[in-house]
Amino acid sequence: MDHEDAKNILQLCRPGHIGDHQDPLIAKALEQLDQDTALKTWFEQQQALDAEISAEFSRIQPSAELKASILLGMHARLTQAEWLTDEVADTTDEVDHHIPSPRPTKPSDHPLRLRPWMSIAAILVIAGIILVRPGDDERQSLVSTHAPHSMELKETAIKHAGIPNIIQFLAEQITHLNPSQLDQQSNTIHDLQYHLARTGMPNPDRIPKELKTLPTMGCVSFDYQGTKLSMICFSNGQVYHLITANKATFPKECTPDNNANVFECQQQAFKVWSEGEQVFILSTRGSPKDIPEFI
Amino acid sequence: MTIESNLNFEYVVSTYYQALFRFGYSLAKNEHEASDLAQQTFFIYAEKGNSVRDLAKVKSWLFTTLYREFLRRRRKNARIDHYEPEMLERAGGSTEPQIGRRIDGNLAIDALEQVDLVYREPLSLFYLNDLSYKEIANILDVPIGTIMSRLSRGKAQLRKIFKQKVIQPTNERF
Repeated sequence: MDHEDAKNILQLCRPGHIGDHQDPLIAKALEQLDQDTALKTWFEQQQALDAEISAEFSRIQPSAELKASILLGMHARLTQAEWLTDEVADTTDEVDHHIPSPRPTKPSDHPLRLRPWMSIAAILVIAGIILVRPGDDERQSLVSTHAPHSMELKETAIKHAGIPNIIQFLAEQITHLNPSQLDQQSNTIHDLQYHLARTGMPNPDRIPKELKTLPTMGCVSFDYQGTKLSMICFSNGQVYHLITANKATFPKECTPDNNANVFECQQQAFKVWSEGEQVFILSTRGSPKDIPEFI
Repeated sequence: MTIESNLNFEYVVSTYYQALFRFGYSLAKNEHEASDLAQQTFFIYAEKGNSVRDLAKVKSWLFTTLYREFLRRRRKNARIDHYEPEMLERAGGSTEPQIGRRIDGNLAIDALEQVDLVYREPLSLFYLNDLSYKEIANILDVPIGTIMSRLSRGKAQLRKIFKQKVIQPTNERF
């Protein structure tokens, strides 16, 4: 190894990293230092300058909130992935211990699809209602308490009766949405609005103030009978979907006038309101009480 | 989500987020995008990181992922450069003052910007002082011999520029 070869190799050695001295290539070049004084002087100067440049690099500091923001986003994404897919279980060693998500991921698992045991339960419930004929107050108390599953089914059916088709459509889409199906994934609203504008999809003129502070997951677009709907997903552990549509094309029966309309469908709560020429729908998993007073 | 995965996340983020931010900053040259790149890298890790079972390989995996994410964004931005200004304005909304903010007066970053493009990435990874030359070659997906020559030539350029900047009066740097 000549003087120049040794110089080239010694360039790979980081100041203060003893581990680098054990690298066979670098170790061989270091041996030259004892026999080549000029090389030794050069190496010491270079190491000092490299240390100075590295110190300058280490002056670059992220904002104080970055770490917390990363951890929050990671947990939110993992939680969302666990909710939306059963596939995660297939890729881990814990497959045998995985408790299936209560959330349906396949059309055949849809809660409103009647299975034999559900049919039997429904018949028993109806028979019970006919035989007992409770008054209105009693019926209300059955719905509002933690009743057995057959009663929950009855409650769902009652609430479905007045739900606009477009809300049922959205509930269906959200229920089966997988993060990998998002048109664009980003943790900043800026990127997502850019994507929506670029693709000509409804782009919210105003993001509710409380949502603005939440990390985003991504966005996706739907077409409901000619009505374009864009959906931005936010998460802070609880996932919120902000759906935007143009008022002109939004179904008239679902367009709110002054007050927001609230619905519950497929374990999702929906709040619909309009501002200017746009209609907004805010959705989250749970009941309407889980929708914050954003508006 | 298990307690184990929580601890693992906490450990991995604490260990690498600053170095990843610095690498992101050296690539993007602005604080907002550097933070965004670091966050996105960890989000990908949260979703796909269980494929990296060897903790020793996590560091290279994270740097590689950040670098690929940076390249993906650059390619995407290059494709949409021709969009109408009004559309971009509508998409961007009002520009917040912190977006695009630079960390003022960092001599190393300023010097790095004047080095030939091909040397910048290996140099910034080298001066992060966290990665060996073999790891740098792996992250940038180039042969070790190529990294050796790029580091050698790039360092010669950078040292020269850095020395000049150090001896400049402070007021000339702003």
